[in-house]
Amino acid sequence: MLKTYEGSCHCGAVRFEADLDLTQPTYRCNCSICRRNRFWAAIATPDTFRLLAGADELTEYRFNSRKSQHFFCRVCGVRAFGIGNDTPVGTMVGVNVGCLEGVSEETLSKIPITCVDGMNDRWTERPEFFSHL
Amino acid sequence: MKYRGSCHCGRAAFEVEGTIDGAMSCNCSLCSRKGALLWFVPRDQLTLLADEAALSTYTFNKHVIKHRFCPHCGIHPYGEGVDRKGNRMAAVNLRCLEGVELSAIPVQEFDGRAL
Repeated sequence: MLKTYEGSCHCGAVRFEADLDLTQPTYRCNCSICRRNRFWAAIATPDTFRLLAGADELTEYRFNSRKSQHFFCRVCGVRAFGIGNDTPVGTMVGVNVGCLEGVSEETLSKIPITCVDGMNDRWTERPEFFSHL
Repeated sequence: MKYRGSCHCGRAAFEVEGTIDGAMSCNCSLCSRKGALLWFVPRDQLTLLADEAALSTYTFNKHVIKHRFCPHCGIHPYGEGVDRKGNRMAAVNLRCLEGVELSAIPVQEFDGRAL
């Protein structure tokens, strides 16, 4: 069931709210950028994600196909969310689960996680090694 | 052993020397957001191959640890500070190293959130 969560980068300059169902799979990936910051994404859409503050503090980073927008706070460097513009389900907002407020450690530990093999461009397959993701 | 690492875009490239015998994963307010897997080495074993002034620095709470990140791609390759004995130390994000099999490294969980 969808529930509305608030979240932020570390310094608080970037704040958002998202309607998420944390009983549904969240994602970790071994691609070159997700590997470096263990991006842990809960999936929202443009309709269920609202940036509340900090649009001017966001730096956008794109690479490779340049289709995905990777945003981070220019003050603290935290990636609170990113936007995938060309996914099988259309435009997706990946919300960093680590940035959500009001989620207990116990709840975090029970969120289902699906690991995908982005390193080998196999976005629907689990990588051979994933315990570190 | 000498390792090479970098942020994602490559602007913050570095070399670090040492033996990776373990890593620390922390759940504090910053680590839970940036997901680093930390390996502590004396700061002089880390050689930044870029101008330090080109990196962004974030500090919080006691402002004693300098969290460095790339202002272009936002990746955090390392932080630095001083240990209790006064030695300059670096906490290297192992996820930024090349040629390291991360799943084979023992990880110690640290309850930074409780501090």
